[in-house]
Amino acid sequence: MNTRTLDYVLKRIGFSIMTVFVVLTFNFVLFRALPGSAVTDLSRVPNSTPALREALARQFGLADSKWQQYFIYLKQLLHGNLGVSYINGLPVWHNLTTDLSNTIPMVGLGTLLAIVFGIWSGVTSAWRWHRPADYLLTNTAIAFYSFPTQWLGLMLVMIFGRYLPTTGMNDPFAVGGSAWSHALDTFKHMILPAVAVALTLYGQYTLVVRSAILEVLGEDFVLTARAKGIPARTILRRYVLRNALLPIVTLIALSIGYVVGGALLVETVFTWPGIGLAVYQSVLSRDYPMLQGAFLILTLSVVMLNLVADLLSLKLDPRVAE
Amino acid sequence: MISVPLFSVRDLHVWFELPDGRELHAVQGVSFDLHAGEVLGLVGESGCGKTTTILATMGLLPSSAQVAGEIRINGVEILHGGESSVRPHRWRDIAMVFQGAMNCFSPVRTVGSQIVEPMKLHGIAKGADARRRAGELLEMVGIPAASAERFPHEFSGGMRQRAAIAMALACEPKILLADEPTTGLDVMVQAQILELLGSLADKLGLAVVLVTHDLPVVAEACSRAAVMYAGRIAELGSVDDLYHDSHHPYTRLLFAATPDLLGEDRVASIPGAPPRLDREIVGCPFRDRCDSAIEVCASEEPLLHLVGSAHVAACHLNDLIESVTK
Ligand SMILES: Nc1ncnc2c1ncn2[C@@H]1O[C@H](COP(=O)(O)OP(=O)(O)OP(=O)(O)O)[C@@H](O)[C@H]1O
Ligand code: SF4
Ligand SMILES: [Mg+2]
Repeated sequence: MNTRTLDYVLKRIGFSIMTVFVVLTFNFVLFRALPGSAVTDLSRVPNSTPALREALARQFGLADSKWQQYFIYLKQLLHGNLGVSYINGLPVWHNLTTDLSNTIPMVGLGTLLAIVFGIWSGVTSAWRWHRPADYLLTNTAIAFYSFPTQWLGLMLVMIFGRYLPTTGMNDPFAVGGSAWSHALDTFKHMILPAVAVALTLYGQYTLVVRSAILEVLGEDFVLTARAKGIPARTILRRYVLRNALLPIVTLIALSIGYVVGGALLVETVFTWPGIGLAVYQSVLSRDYPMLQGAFLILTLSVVMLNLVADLLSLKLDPRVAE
Repeated sequence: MISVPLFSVRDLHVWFELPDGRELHAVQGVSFDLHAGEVLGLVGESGCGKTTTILATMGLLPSSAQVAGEIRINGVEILHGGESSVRPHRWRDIAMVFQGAMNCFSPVRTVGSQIVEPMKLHGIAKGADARRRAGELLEMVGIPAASAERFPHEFSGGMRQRAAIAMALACEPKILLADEPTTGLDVMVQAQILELLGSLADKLGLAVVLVTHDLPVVAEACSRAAVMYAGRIAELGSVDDLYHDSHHPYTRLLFAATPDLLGEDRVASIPGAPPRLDREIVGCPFRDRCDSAIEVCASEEPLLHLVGSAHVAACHLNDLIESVTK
């Protein structure tokens, strides 16, 4: 590692830490700036007395000044304490780990499908530029990219609802059974929402991959490679894909980062008990600690994967460190 | 000359299909021969079809281009068999320095590995042998051999351009097509490179087509030159004849045009602009700018005629003079 590279790595790490801190602060301010508070919500009972409301406020740490709340928030975060959910009174961390363990396999599978299919479709359409295959693949990608997610989800339910389960993670009536049959049941439930996630994501991959490849195809070094007598397939691999990799890797890292954010719309349509659904419900009930926790995890994950993408691009393109 | 020319282009035509369905006739019947050890200049204003001609001879035009004509290396036609019949000749027999050669290296691989690549591909050399050869080639163009391990972005523009020439020589080609190889380089480096090309032509018998805007370069480096206008050859002959015994008004204006300080826009200093190539041209394409046009120029296209020994020009005035002297 030369000094320039080291400099780059340190800068990227420093930048990531800064980003996390700014987002943490922003999260805190944002949720307090929103109208209404959890207490007014929780105590929305006909005879709630000021005393009751005050007691609740104290219980959830909302009686202190905003500054005090901010420092307590940061201190607790450092101890890994995300607070207690206003809704079920359980530690946010506990709620989130449950939600995440449901979200990650489903959204992860969907993202993986989107990456594989999107890259294939992008490479193929670029390679068949301005030929029927290109028009077909590109227009399909644009269509799926622009369909509203809920609508796509409903279409899937309508078309495949007869063959595959469409709500929840498990069949509530299937009691007993082996761990294996339970897992299989979960997998069946996962298919439609994962496909919905894949369909909403893959269009973007197709378009990014296609344009990245087309851009490289127009470069002088590709023409030079042809002039050198290198066979077309080798040029595609050694020159074109290799140079188009950078934007693709960045996109992959970002979408992997977003996996822990869940898929709010898809999870809502398919009532998949993941983090997206939890965020949706937390918004409805102004459950700040849950929201903050969810956003914290999303932030950390996206910032981390961004950092990974930055460090990978250092490997992929020697110009990056300049 | 009786011997079979090393490189021969016959009646080359190129049409580009434009996005709106019309056709642009970029090269219209270009022919020339090239012998071992010879440096042929190819000059003309921007857009006259120099690059298109060069790319067509290696079968490198995009699929929107339609090509007709013959390209022969030592008498063997190479284009008609399609991609698979040209590919073995590329870089092995006929190599190229591209216009904008600075960008001819992939940014993610070392310069050396890209010079070595065609040697391996065409079975010239491999392993340590090939790497040593790449180092020698770089040194020949004035770049330290150790720089082979470096990436293109670590080179200056001029170095990259010189490395492109080194890369073109990797497989000891018989023919080198150099499309403005010295544009943008400073005068010193430019002179060095021209000298290098000249000495390679002398020593190795390399045949060079040198595309340039720069007429002094033609005078210095070339034995013969072809003047192109609107996709055709207007005049072709020895550099001496073109300077002192030109038979085409365009050549005369071109060579007489007052040099400006930059030296590059000299060609453009003839008033007016060349005709568009996306519609058919009736009569002489140079008519609108010609200072000696006659009636027949508006209706009939002048054809290339022999006007001296190994000297051809396409201008009605020559026929006129011929008929007067007869
Ligand atoms: N891919 C293409 N599609 C359509 N038209 C093209 C294409 N490439 C070149 N042309 C046209 O063909 C004509 C000849 O272009 P060419 O690049 O060969 O000129 P040139 O003599 O090399 O010019 P310059 O001195 O600027 O390099 C121009 O009118 C140009 O617009
Ligand atoms: S043919 Fe006529 S218009 Fe063309 S260059 Fe000769 S004199 Fe000029
Ligand atoms: Mg050109």
